Amino acid sequence: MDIEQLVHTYSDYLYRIAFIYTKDERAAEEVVQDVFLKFYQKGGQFRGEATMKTYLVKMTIHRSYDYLRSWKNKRYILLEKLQHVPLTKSAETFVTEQETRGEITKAVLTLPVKDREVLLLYYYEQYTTKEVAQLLELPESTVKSRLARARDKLKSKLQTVNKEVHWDELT
Amino acid sequence: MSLREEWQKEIQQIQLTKVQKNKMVADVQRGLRSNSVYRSDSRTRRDWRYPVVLGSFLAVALFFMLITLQPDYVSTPNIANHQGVVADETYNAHFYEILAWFGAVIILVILSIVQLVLVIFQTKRWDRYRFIQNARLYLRIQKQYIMVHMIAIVLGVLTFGFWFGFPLLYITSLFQTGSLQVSTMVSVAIVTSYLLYIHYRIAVQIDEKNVMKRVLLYQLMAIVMFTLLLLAVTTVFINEDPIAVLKIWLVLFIAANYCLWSLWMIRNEVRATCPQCGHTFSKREMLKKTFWGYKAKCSQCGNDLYMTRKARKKLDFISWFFPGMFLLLSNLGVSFWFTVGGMVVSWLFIMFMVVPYTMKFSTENEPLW
Repeated sequence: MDIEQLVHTYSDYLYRIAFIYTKDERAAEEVVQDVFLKFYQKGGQFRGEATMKTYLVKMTIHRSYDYLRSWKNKRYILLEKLQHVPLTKSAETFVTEQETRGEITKAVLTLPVKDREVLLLYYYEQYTTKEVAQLLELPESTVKSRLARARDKLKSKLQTVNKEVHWDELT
Repeated sequence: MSLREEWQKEIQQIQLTKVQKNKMVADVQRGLRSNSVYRSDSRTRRDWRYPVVLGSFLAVALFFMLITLQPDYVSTPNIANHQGVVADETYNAHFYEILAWFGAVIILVILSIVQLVLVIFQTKRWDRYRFIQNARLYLRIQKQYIMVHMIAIVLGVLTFGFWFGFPLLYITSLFQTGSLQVSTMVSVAIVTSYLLYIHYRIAVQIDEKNVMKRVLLYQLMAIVMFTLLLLAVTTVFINEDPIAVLKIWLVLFIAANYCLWSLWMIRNEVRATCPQCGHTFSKREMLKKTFWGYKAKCSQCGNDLYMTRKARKKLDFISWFFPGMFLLLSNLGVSFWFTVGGMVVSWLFIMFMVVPYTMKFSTENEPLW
């Protein structure tokens, strides 16, 4: 598969994952670009042990963590806390983004990254707990307990915004 | 609609536009990285710039702290002229202060001698030097004479006491020659003959062929050291402000101790080699690499090299120890410029003598923690 095809097939998918991690569209775009670049340059390292999709998802998760750990991100977080306005985008874009995002996504984004990632992989990507554990390099029991905790948190968040959901989904 | 479906519907709206995708393809094909919102690559993320910038910032911060913590010199009022009792008390307090500083200097001197001996004996990379081999032999033989030294010291102290008591003081005063001059001359004669004897014995054991040459060398060395010691002690006591002089000595010996300690830390180290081609870097090359931070290039095979985690930690440990020490000194009221001088001298020593041996390279850029 050439790079153009690869980008058109997986970029949206990876972009969403990166966005749930970074909570920033611009950063998510850059994470995805870096993932493709890395794959383009070192594609030979892909041994075909997992599917291409899983391989790229894993790379995206690692790159997203790199972003979260970066000084730049930490600085943004600190300044955002001080000024209450994101620095990476204009106030107008920020408002538009906030409006277009759904209630569930907004609620998920308020959770800590450990909870966000398990929710994303389990509910959105529809991986099994075992697969999530493999992807995140964690024990399966940890994934399960994180998932339970994340569900509880999400439930209470959604209740506060009076969101009507089928709670049996969150059990 | 279930939560899962609803969320999927919501999240589907988060997507890249066609323009963004095309731009991404073009950028990837041209090998362009994203516009540096962050450094995604682990190699560049742990670039030397962070530690260097952070390190310099901390160094500057410490420097300013040093300046602000410098206490103001308050001139003590001369109360001795008014009340004799107070003058006595002031004199006593002053005397004990001098004694305390003197004690601190003596401790540091002993510590530095011990460290020097340890460094001479334990630095493995110096094994091949003839000078070091002789120095080790010299120290070993000195150790054999430890009892003789002890007896000599005890006898010296006894002579000193006897001198000022009875009967030579009386005799010399009879001849009006002045007891101090005579006692100095006699003690110098005794010390010189003692050193001559000991060094003759040592020279015979070390180098039988050039005994006289070696005796002269050791004798000269001993006399230089003895003179320096004498000068040091006299400058302290003939100076109007002995504490100021003692503080200078303190700074000098702290710097010496620090340098010796860092030498001891690298006692088992040898000059770094390239893990790829095994090329041993020369001292000059190592010095150049010191200024390039954590990343370097092998001059032979051209591979990128990174300092290993252990080496970085060791270097940080050695180089961050001393600003704190000198900060403490400035708190104790040691002259600011001497403190800075001490820092600069130790820094130069560390830079040229220690850092080239703390550096070790690997081809992987290991994380610091």
